[in-house]
Amino acid sequence: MLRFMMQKLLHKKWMVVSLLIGNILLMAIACSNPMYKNASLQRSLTKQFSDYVANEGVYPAYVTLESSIVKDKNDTSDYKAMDELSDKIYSDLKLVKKEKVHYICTNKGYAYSTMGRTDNKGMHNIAMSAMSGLEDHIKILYGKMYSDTVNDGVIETIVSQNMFIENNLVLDEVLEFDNIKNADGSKVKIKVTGVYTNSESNDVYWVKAPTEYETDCFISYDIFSKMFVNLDKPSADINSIWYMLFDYTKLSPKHVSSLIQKTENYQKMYSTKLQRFDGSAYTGILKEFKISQNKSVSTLLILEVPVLILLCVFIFMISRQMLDLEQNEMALLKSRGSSRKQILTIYFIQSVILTLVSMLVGLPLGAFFCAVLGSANGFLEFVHRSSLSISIDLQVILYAIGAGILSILVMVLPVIRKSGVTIVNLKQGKNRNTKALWQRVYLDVIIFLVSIYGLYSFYGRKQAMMVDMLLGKNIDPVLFLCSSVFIISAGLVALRLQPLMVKLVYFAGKKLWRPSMFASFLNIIRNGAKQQFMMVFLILTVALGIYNATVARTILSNAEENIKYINGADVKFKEVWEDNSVFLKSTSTYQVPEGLSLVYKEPDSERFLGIDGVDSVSRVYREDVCVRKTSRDEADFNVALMAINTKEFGETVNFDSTLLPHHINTYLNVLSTKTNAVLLSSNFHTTQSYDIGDRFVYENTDGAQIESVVYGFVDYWPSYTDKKYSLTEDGVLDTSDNYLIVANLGKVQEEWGVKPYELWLKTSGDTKALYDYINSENVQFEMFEDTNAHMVNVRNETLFQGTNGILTMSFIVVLILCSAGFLIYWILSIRQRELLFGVFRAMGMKKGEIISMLINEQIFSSGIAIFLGTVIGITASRLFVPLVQIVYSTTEQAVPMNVVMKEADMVRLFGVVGAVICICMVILGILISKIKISQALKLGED
Amino acid sequence: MADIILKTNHVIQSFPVAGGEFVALNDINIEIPKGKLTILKGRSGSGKTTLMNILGALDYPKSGEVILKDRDITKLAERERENIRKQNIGFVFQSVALIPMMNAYENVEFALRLSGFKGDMKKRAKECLEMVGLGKRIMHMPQELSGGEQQRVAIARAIAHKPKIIFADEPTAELDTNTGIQVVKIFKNLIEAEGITIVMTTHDTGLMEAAECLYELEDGKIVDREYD
Repeated sequence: MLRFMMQKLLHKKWMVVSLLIGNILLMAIACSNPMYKNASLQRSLTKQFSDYVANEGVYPAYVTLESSIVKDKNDTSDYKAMDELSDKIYSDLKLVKKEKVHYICTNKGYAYSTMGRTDNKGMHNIAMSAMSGLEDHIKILYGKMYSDTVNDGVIETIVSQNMFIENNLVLDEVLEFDNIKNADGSKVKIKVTGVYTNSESNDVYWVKAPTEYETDCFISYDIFSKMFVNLDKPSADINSIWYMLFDYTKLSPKHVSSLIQKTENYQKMYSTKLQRFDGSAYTGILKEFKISQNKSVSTLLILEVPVLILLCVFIFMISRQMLDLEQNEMALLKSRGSSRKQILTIYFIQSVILTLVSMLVGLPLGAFFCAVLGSANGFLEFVHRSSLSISIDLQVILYAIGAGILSILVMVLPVIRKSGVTIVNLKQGKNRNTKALWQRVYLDVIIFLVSIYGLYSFYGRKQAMMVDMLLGKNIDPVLFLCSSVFIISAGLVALRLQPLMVKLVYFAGKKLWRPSMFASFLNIIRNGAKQQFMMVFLILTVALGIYNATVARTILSNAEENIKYINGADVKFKEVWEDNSVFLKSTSTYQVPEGLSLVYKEPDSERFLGIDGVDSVSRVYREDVCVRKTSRDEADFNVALMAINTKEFGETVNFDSTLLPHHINTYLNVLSTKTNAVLLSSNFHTTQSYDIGDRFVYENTDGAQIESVVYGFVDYWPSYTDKKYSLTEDGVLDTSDNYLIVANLGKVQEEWGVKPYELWLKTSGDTKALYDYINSENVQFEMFEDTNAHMVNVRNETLFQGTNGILTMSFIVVLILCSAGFLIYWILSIRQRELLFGVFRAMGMKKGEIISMLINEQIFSSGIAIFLGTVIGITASRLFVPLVQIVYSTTEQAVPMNVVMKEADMVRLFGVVGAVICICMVILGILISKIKISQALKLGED
Repeated sequence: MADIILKTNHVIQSFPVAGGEFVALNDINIEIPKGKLTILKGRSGSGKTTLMNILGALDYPKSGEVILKDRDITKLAERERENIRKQNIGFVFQSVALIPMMNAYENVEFALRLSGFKGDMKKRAKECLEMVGLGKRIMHMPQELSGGEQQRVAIARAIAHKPKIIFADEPTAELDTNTGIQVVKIFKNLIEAEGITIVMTTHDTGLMEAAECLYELEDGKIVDREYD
């Protein structure tokens, strides 16, 4: 039996190879999902933390435990409990310890200098403190480190530079505390031996920077513990903080939920002054991560569904084709007395072997897919990027086993039906040419209509879906399923059209066809059913390719367009301006002289214009102002004011001119005609019933007013969004209107003076010189935004990157399936027709004519399939992409979403498909030229 | 003796087999008379089909000449042999080898198209099918016809373009004796009606009487020849 099976497998190597390809791909895709998910989430979790570190300059991955010992209270159990908790917290929260820092201090008390200095009254309100491991994280600026022993009743201490200067201390100065006493009742004396600072600027040890310890005299941790921490009989008031730093790079995305949960439980449990647990530093980051995680995990899984379905269909069809070829053997076995069970066993063992082999190859291939996913930059576009850390864990193995069971089922199920057939049934049924079941019951048409209905109902719920997405809810998986089902069922429906199209061409030119054409048309028309297998895959390849490319291109391009619009310019920033505020503050205790107000020193904006790569610079002044209503019963309302210099502005902004009915420059020209002219956002007109020509007044926070005249309304304006979405505390999405006034900068500055404005820059794309200048001149910014950097960040987000990766991968997989299907079909078709070709040749047909016959078949099968696939792909894109796009929308979505198809994508797509077909044709050409007439004819004699 | 349409001079054919060459045809010298039924007789494996393929320009011999109308066709290029096959030769194969996706009529018509037939193809195709006694079932697909009917379609297809010579390789092998006799009768009629030359191989001794010229092959050699 086994030998029968092995012979069988060897005999049909093409089939077995494609079956293996299908199985391996199924395995690889199934496994790559959890692998990629884990790796990518790990990366984005780590990135979220490291971004926080980069942006805030603070290490957020730590738990704070706080407790105190109260001298007058003999109970130290609270302190002991927290101390014990600090020992087990890492294992309890499943965190990897990075650094445990214990900070203890006495209450602040007054200390007097014993030096009798005249320059300093010598009374300081300070505390004695100690921090575990301090020695390893400081460097001494002046003086020396404290010693670990008490000499002559004087404790040595070091202080921060701030503390040193604030208190006007000198080195080796001895201070005596008034209230803090030794065990024997004598006053505690300390000697300042040194001034320290942190040894490295970004040392995570310093949860609070050294500069913040403004009243702390650090003494040796051991001395502090021995002298002041007496748990049996408290001798002093002690405050204690444990900073439990953990390594966020070792934090697994799987534990995020439980970590948040446990942290919150602890926080509830310990919320008193004597016992406090605080994890707020990291829970915020984790919660943010969870929202994006939910969205990306479910989206990525759903994106893989169509290709998984296709793979199963592929495996099913190939194994059925194999069975068709094996029916003779099977029927023979059957009539020789093999039981149905025996036959099933053979096929079961065969499928298990195939599955095991695919598992061996599929797992590493899955890992490779992950790496590819990680470097996807767009559809069929890859870049070199730091690779993902891919690991195979239990979850991956489970997915692999699941995929294995699925493929075994798919391979064995058709056998159950066929294994009942004896040789007699087989011969009887051979000449019956029946249509597939799904075609007879119009299953494809029904499913197609269902998907159209689904599409229709989704359009009805579009607004609600958008709100759901903004609330961080999961996307309805049915939407994605619906689009896949639409493409697949449309492909099947289209198959019904192909014979009609061929017939049309055939009959139209019946008289003209040369014999070879004639033969090939008849072959397509009368043997067409056999081609459908190959055509389905070709149609789906092209359709999915176009659809995937469009989805990938659209979400990315819309996100980028949106960023461009929101940012308004390539680079924009607001410099820190020098002003007279220090002077004003210092005089504030006295009477401020009349007419003295806040005055800024305007930096030269022209200096940026000279930098390489900066094409133009525009000054944009922004302030929130208030619009005064003339009639009493109407409320004033808040408006964003944007004051611009029209010429500069027009040259600098990034603005899609199709957003407004006229080019933006037309509006700018109108604005520049009069100094007090303004452009208003359209909601002034729609909700506040302002009209062109109206005069109105807006005022700033100081109460200064400007009167202006309405010259126009705009729906869109660089960086302006008409709606503001925000989540209320109850988790309800709140929408409010944003109002905008665009005014002339000259007018505003004339009325209100020159105040810090933003600079918007247009660059040639190369910003290196700009950054060099900023670094070398040490320009300080209140705000800095680089649109390109922002876009790169978006491309790197798990959701976007994973989407691109999976769409690309699906396409490649479908392409592989398609070429395997294509080759199998044609190889089988040529093998089966060798005799026929021999007859043709014997009748005097030339080799070239046979090849032209095959090419004609190609045109009318593959060609039509590609055409139909294109139509379906474009249709599906137009219908579904606007819905799918919603998943990727953000609260900041400002510009209308467009379905984007890029020519380059299509060229790439058809290039790849064309190349695959050409390669297949070359293989077929070689096969055909090997056929010898006399041998082909002999075949028929057997 | 009638005109000779085709003759061979010292035709040798061999195939490489494990451990040497298998000589399939050994110095074959035969003459095919024009407008007659010639039968090549022999057991299976005696080289009949090999010889037939060489005579019909489907295969090249190892050495020797095949003279068709004063030309040695073994020396011609494949392209010219294709033309010769197209215009002068018709084949009837042992396994019927009709074109499965064409019905009886189309099979015949297709041969006409292929040979570049100049006259009324429809009329000629029908005429040929009637000649083999299949006037009524011409719109049936091959798999809907019986073995004998299929073979008759094949004959009709072979004669449609009015070839000079028809090669029929065991045309009766898969048919019962009666149908076989029918086929031979059709051949006889065709020779009378169209003046064609027919070369046919068979191992059926019952059909030998019909032959006007008969060669017997054994192990690749002509062992016997008989003329009427």
